[in-house]
Amino acid sequence: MSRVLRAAGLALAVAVTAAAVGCAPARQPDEIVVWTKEIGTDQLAQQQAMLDAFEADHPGVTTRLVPVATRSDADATALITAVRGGTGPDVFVADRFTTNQFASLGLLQSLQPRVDAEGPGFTDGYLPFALDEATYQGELYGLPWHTDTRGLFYNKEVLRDAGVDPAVMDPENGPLTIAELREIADQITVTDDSGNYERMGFVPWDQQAWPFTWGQILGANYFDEQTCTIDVDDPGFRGIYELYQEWAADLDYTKTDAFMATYAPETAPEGTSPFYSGRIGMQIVYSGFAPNIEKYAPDLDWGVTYPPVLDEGDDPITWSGGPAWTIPTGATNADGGWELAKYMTGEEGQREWSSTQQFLPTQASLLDDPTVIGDDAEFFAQLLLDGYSSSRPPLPVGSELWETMNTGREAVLLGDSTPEEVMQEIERRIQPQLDPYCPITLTQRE
Amino acid sequence: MSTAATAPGRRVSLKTQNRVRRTTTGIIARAILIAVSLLFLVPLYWMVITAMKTDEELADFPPSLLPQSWNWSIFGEAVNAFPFWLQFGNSLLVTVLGTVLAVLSSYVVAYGFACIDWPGRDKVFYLVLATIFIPFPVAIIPLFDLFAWLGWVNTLLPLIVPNALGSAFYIFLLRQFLLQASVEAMDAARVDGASEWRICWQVVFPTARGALIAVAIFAAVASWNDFLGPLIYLQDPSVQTLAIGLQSFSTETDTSFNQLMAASTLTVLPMVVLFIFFQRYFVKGLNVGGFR
Amino acid sequence: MTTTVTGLADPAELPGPAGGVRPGGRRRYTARQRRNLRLGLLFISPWILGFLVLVAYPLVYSLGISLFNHTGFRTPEWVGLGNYSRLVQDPLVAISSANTLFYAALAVPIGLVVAVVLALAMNRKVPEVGLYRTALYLPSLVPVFALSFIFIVFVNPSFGLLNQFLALFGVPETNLLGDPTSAKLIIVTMAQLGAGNAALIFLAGLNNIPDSLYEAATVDGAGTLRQFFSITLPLLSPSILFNLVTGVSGALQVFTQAYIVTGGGPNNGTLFYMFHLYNSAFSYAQLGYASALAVVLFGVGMVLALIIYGLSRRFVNYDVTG
Repeated sequence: MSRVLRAAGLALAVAVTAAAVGCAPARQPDEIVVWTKEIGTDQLAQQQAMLDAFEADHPGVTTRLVPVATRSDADATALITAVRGGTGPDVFVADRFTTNQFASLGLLQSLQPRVDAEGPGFTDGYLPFALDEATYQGELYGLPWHTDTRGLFYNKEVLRDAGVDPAVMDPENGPLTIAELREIADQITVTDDSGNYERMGFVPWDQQAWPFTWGQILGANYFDEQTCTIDVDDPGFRGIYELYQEWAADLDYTKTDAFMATYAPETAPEGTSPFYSGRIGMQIVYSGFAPNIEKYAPDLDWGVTYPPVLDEGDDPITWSGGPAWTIPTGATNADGGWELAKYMTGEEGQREWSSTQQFLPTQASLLDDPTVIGDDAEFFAQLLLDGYSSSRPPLPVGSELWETMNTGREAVLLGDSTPEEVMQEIERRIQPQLDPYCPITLTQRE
Repeated sequence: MSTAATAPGRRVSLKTQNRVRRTTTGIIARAILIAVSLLFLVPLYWMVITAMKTDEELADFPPSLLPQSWNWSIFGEAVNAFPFWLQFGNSLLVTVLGTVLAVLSSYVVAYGFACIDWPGRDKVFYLVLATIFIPFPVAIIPLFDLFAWLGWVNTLLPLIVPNALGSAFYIFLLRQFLLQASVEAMDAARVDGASEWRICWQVVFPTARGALIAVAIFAAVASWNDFLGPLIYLQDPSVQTLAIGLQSFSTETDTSFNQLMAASTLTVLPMVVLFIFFQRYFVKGLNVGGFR
Repeated sequence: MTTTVTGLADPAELPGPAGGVRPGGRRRYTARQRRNLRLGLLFISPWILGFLVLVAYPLVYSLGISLFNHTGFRTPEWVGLGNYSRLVQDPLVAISSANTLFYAALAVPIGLVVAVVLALAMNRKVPEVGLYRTALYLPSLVPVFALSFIFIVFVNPSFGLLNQFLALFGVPETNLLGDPTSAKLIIVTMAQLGAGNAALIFLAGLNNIPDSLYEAATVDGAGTLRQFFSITLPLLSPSILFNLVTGVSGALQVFTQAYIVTGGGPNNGTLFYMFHLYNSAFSYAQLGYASALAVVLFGVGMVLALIIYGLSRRFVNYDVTG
């Protein structure tokens, strides 16, 4: 045999062995593999610290924390491929909103038998809306972890500069109506000589001003349980796009988009924000924004109130997200995963997690505990306690509905579609995917 | 050739005319060449420049064309912000093994199509050509299920092993080259009683160096640049290649653009070095082997 | 004197070691032929295995599961042609197909022109040609995923260069990734940076055109343009055919750029067919439906390839008398 041939044979042997040995991370028997979508540096460090504490409490148990970065919340590629490939984790810290989608696909194990085995009252400590969000066909698929909620943040300096008394925004005075908000926003907005925006009061598709946020405000209903259909004839649902269409025309979408891309690019580095720099006067943002302001713009004079409402005198309304601890199908150590999930989402686990992170707990008892809820978060904790906040509709097609609704927003903003066309698009896209899961029972705990 | 009969007098004046025309077109051509070359390099230039800017300078508007100070430490920061070297190693492993397997297997198959005269050979070769044009993604779901069944998900094997089955495009390039291999040398070896396998490696292989290197570079670039494969097969950061590492890094909230560009620069660099080293083989290998 | 310029379409014409298949159907093979047949099949066995595993099996499998409602986690449910009828009604199939056609209709022809220009540039007989070759080929070595990140930065209105450049011509500051059409155009532009590979194939083709043809044409008084159209282009036609077919096949698969740069937006403006297929399969675990999409893509790809081959019989030039 020639040297070349031997070299080739050697290379092949090396190839196969090196590749086989060099990759698949080996599993230990008592190991709990945790995939998390909470991948900020601080969050990973804190999760690791808590896992270490869990290991210390449970001799012989080891844990492995794997950060999973995804393009969007609904993108389940990593979980789908891993579970299919038999290399899925024991626990998946998923966006709670996606539990329904994952559960309906068969990607997750029902936790209901385990919940029942724990005895009555096991889930009583969790906020009802968070449990509902993780429930599919009457069975719980995830233990709720933290949550957040949305408020209207305002920069008092910018308001004063525009001649608006910040006191009108104070939550004491109840929420603003959409009309009031627009009026104030117009007062703030400044245009340069060539007509480009230099400062804007409020951009109705900025940050957390999602179609769903406006839908809550307009009282939209998305799903008709009786007929198991997407309720595209609902006036509130359609109203989202009518609002966007009219508002975008008023602001001039192209001009606003250029302003946003310049001063508020999605990819802006952490620690910068058009809100800090006074480029945008008001934003609907989630509660974790408050500690961020304190961190990156400690001198800023700001306030936060309820998102706007449709009519004077309406109750405040907002919505909340957050993750849940789930156990994927085929988990090798599901029992270990369950113990860990109980520990992390239980009262003590959430106390430690929420007091070190900028999130709100879903354990109701912690919401009025000043050691957990800092000054920044009090307003938001009260929103949750008062029951003003709910979740997005937990449907098997929830994340596709969410994404289709967001795409519909782009279509309307760009002038490519009318609200009517968006509603048709949503129906044509979502209904066929929903049909295989009908009938669907939504759970509403008190 | 009919043109040989042109009158001598006319040829002289033609030559002078041509010289004049050549100098002017030469200058214009050079200007265009330089402009187009620069245009092609601008995005790469912007990558390096953006990498070297500080966070403060990145926030400046309008952006500066040259960084105020060259922030070399950014490369260190980027490398430490995610498991860069580990994932670099994974990319390297996939690329080296994948390339070796692709070149060797494609060579053997090409030899079978070029140097052995068997009935039906050219008909089968039509089929090889046809597969060049099959959109690969058609196969992603079936192949995923196959590799999942084999337990290869979350390992580098799905990215490496298929290379051992030859690649239609490389087979085509190498076959074209091997068709010109010396038939005499092969026949002489056959008369001496050498096995076909031995002729393949000892007589023909050493003469195919240029084409093999060209194919190797193609294969290396393809492996290094693969995105969809790693996206589907690799979930654990410790087995991911740079393609996915960079993508995850970019979706993390606290990632800054200069770090992302620094990491991209380091990802691009190995391919650039490879090309500069082997540039002469590259074009030559294609010339000899390729599209005659 | 006949120079054979061979391309893809007709390997039987290639000069090879004596022999080949003789017309006339079945006949008895000699012992030597039988031995060669065994040997030949042995040598190409990696490819045969590859064909079975990487081409034949996926096709059959895709066809099979496209008839089921299949998430991969539950027992598949027979739906017959249900996935195909859903495909016809799915608005995203219409949108993503239109986007892909838009992309292909621009990127492929522009890509061919750019590649020919690059090849001519790389072929200039000037001393510093190596520099040009390097500069023009370098972007083709940049991984598409890395190039995507570069473009995110490059077209960003606040720290990109492109808007600054366009501002010189009075174009107002716009978010080029914020509009479905301009976002697609950006992706078409990105593709041109990778024209180096196609250019190399043209370059190889150019090098094989005998200089004597140009000399003769010059003596006949043909200008540069005339020479290009009557010598260069026809003799490049096999390479053009190859690049055209691979270009179309590549355009049908465009994915990575859109995945990274725009995530398919805005308003699904860069949701290409392959992206929709990927989403269906791996974001939403609808493997049956995604397989139906794959089968259709395969069909379209094959039909396009056949059409191009059919047309090429008229235009592609394999033999030239010089």
